Parts: sequence; C-alpha cells; structure tokens
Amino acid sequence: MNINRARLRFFLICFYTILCLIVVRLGYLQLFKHNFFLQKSTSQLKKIIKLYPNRGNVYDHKNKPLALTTTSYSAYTMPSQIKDKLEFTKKVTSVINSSQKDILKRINTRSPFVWIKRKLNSTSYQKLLDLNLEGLDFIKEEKRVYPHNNLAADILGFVGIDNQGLGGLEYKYDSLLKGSSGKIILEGDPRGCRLITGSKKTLPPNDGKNIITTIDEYIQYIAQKYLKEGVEKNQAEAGHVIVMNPGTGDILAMADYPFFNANQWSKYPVHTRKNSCVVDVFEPGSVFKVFTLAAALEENLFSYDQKIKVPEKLKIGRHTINEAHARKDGESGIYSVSQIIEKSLNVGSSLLAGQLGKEKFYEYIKSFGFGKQTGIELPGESSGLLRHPDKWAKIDLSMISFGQGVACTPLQIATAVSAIANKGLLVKPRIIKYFTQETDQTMKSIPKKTVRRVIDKETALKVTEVMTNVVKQGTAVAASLPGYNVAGKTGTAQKAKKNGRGYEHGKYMPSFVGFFPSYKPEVLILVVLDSPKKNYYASLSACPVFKKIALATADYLNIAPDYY
Amino acid sequence: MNLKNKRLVFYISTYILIALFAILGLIYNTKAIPINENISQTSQKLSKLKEDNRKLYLELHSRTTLEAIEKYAAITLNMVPAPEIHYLIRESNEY
Repeated sequence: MNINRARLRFFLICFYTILCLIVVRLGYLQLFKHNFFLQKSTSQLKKIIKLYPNRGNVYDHKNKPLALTTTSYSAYTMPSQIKDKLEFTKKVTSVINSSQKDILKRINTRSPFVWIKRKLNSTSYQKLLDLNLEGLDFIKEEKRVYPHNNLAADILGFVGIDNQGLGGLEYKYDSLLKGSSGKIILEGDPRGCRLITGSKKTLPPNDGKNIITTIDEYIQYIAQKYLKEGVEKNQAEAGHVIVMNPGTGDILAMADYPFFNANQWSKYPVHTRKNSCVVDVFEPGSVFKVFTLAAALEENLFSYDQKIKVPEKLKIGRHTINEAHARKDGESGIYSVSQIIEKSLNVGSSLLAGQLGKEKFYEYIKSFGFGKQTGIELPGESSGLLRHPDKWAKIDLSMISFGQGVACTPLQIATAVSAIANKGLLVKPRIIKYFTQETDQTMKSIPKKTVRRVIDKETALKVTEVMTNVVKQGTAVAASLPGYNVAGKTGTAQKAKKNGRGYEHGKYMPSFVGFFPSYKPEVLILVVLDSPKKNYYASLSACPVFKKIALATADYLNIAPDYY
Repeated sequence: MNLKNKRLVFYISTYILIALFAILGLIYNTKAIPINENISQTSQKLSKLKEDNRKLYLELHSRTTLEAIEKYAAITLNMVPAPEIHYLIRESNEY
C-alpha cells in the first residue's frame, strides 16, 4: 500500500510539474509575447492593398499641360507557369520589339517573377491581351508622357522607368511631384479572403503636387522653331535662346538646340539633355560692353555724349588691344561714349574700364549678378567664371571690359541686361509660379523677387538710349523691329577652348541680347549661337533669329508699338 | 408561478431574443452585401472613367501641339505662312 501511495505521489508530482510548466509557458506567451502574436494575427487577418499616387503634372502659365501621367500596363510572367517557352517567346516577340534570344534568356531562370516589357503602349497591350497566353499577366502602372515631345524638354527634364525624376524640374522637384502612397486595410481570414462584415479602412494616397511654370507654350514653340532655323541656316553646332519678362524675371521661354524628345530621352546623347542655358558658360564678348558703360556712367566718369579720342590700337604690357574691324579711311578716331558702344569698339571700352579701375569694375560686375548663381529653380546651375581682381593680369581689365576673360551662362547675361531694362533693378529669374494640388488649390507660390538696385534709374535710361542707338544705327540694325524702339547689343566672342587655355581657332559665339519697347520693356530676348560655320558675326546670325522671335512675340502678346 | 417555471420562461425568452437578434443581424448583412457590392462596382467605374478621362486629355493635347497644327495647316489645308514684310531703311538724302 505504501509503495502504491509513493508511486501515486511521484506521478502526481510529475503531473503537476508539467502542468506548472505549461501554465508558466502560457503566461509567458500571453503576457510577454502579447504584442508579437497580436501583430502576427493582425497581419494574417488583415489584407493590405497599396494605393499608388498619381505623379503631379507640369503646366505652362496658362495651365496648358507640358507633362502628364497616364495609365499603362507592364507585362510580366512567372516562368514556372509557362508550358512551352519557345512558343511563348515567339508569340510575345511578334508583338513587342525585343529579340527572341533576350526574352528566352529571361524566362529560362528560376526567378518566380520576370518582367517582359514595362509600360507598354495601348496597341501592344491590347495585342498581348488578345494572345491570351498562359503565364503572361499585366500590372497597371503610371507612365509619364510629354504631349509636346521636345517642347521645353530641357526645362521639364525626364523620368526613369519607375517615374523617378532624372533631370530638369522632374529631378529638382521629384519629392513634391511623386506624392505618397496610400492603402486599403481590409479584415480577412488567414487565407486572405475578405470577411463580409469585416471593416475596411482606406488611407487615400497623396497625389503629387502640380507645377505651374512661367513658360508660355506658344512663345516656347516660336523660340525653338526660329532657333532651329537659325542654327541650321548658319550651320552652327548649337544654339540657345532665353525669352523673359525683364520687369518680373519670369522666363517665358528657354530653348537649347539640339533638342531632345523627353518621351525617348535615352536615345539622345547626354550633352543634348542638359540645359546649357543654365549649366554651360561662355565668354560673352561685346555684349559685356553695356555693363562697362553702365558702370562708367554710374560713376559719373563720362557722359554718354562725351567725345573721346580712341586710338586704333592700345598697347598694354606685351599685349595689344585691336578692333574687330579695321578703321575706314577718313575716320577721325574721336567718338562719343555712345558711339563706342554703337560701333562696339574694343579699345574704346578698354579706355572706359581703365578709368573705372579694376576694383570698382569688379564690384559692378558682381552687382550685376556675375560670378554667382541666379538661384533659378533648375538643377545644375553654374555660377560662371569670374576671377577676383587680385588674380587679374594687366591685360584682364581691358579684356573683361569687352567680355573676354570672363565666362557666364546665357541666363546670367539675360538677367543682368534685364536690370538695365528694369530701370536699374536686378530681379531674380523664376521658372515656377506656384504649386497646386490635384484640386487646383494653390499650395505654395514662388514670389517675384527684386534682388537689389545695381544702377540709378537715370543711368539705366542712358544705357538704354545707347543700346537703342546700337539697333537704330549701330551693329544691330538687323535686329530692328518696325514700329518698335529696340534696345540691344551684339557680341561676337571667340570661343574658349575646353581646357581654358586660349581660344579655338576660327570658332566664335555670336550673340544678341535685346529688349523692347526700349523705354517700357515687356520682353527681353537673348540669342546665342555656338560656332556657326556661316556668318559668324552676330549681326548676320543672331540678330535675324532675335527679330523673328521678337515679331512673333510682339504679335502674340499684343505689345503696342512705339510709333506707326 | 413556481421557481422552476419562472426559470423555464426566462431561458425560453432569452433564447427567443438571441434568435431574433441573430435573424435580424443576418437580414442586415444580407442586405448590406449587395449594397457594398454596388458601391464597389461604382467606385471601380468611377476610377475607370477618371482613367479614360486622363487618357483622352492626354490624346487631345498630343494631337493639338503647335507643331501638329502647323503641319496640318500646311499639308492638309494648304495654308502658307503670312508673307514677311521687309523694310528698307533709307538715308534722308536718298530717293
């Protein structure tokens, strides 16, 4: 009996020990691992459907679309589901433009998921759908489309296969344009089936913001059309045009030839895809003389009708400053300050700068915005090349006075000349007006900004008068517009070598910058051509391009003429 | 009524109430199913229409680019650009 009792006791002890262990384990799971198992069960019982946001659109200032998003389908396959891979490949490649070898290589893998082709056009998608192939399926995706192809492509930029911005505004404002994804949370059973009475929570996606630019679709088109004509006619390597409102700084058009189609950007070389108007620098040449003049007049060193004796050559150290053209017989060599700019005399502008001195001259150049980024809302902007006067050689003061030995972007020149047009006030150029939500509610605007006063109003008006004379009777007669007073300046600069040591032989960068009407300017246009083989003088190459763009713009904007 | 009967009545009425609630719940859910289904279908239709609208908007702007209009005017309508007017600037003593 005692033995039986002992055995019973032993058995009960074992039993209760095991029971205690189970209870302790249960307690541990329930109390300490509560959150872990709650999360696990929640994830099993909840089905999450991701909602993708729509990428924001880009519009011109009149809300005409420049970049849109549309739905497209991407074809994929799960190779394990394909019975006859060769047959599958033949049928698929009969629709899409891919090699059979490439498709066969892709589907002959152990990978459970293989893309066949991303973002099919609607025709290819329908054809593939009609094939009804086993193992072929489709995913809906968003595709970025630029309806105007190459219009403003340098400004808009382009996107990659996953709609990530890779250039231009698409890159700079990618986080604003892409938005954030949402989700639908459904209650379901562990097999993923939705419960009839289960709850449904929807967190809507935040669509990307839309961008309203300052670009005008028509002016951009005109600028590109006539720039292309000018480049082809003069057999230039490239060309750039900027059209802006000098009073507000709004960029109405910015074109950079050769163009590229943003819908097929990968087919174009890299150098065509950058926006040279803000990224690349060049020596501006005689266009820079207007800033030399402005500085000299502002310092009251000269009056614009003051006569000066201008020698044919000027020797500075071991160097000699020459004119671009030989003097005509009978010319006295005495010119007014205005005539120095009208005739674009290098020696004359050297004399003006010589009176200023390098420190003062440098201050004015900086004040006009050179050597510094303008701050426009585009990526990759260059600040140009402007050395401190401490690093200037003796010849540099003269060289810089007529725009050699200093390098700047086309945008910097346009912005600096707009200060003259704007009665001495430098404005910040802008390309974005504001951002909106999908519901057109304005989220954030980029305000117009006046940076500083560079020169007095009277000085600006005097420089404007001189620039108007340049067009009336100087080197830019070819840029004159019937009925309008046009203020402008030509420049025919030697093209600097890429290594910065000297100039390319026989290559020039003709340019013309002008605004009109002279005394109440509404439009400023800059045209630059790169290394034209025919007509390297600005009066014969850049001026006619300016004139065509200006006439079309004046007509479009209904700019009242100055005289009839 | 003795205690036993009272208990019986209580249990029966409880069961009847539970059954009633269960039936009402079932009726509500069965009516809710087609309504939810309807909502879901209408939402899908709406998304499809929005999608179609976007596609049409894109097609409209792709076909009415300034380049396309100019080409259409030149080729199909045989229109020509307005003639350019050239101005001769004469010196005042010239005739």
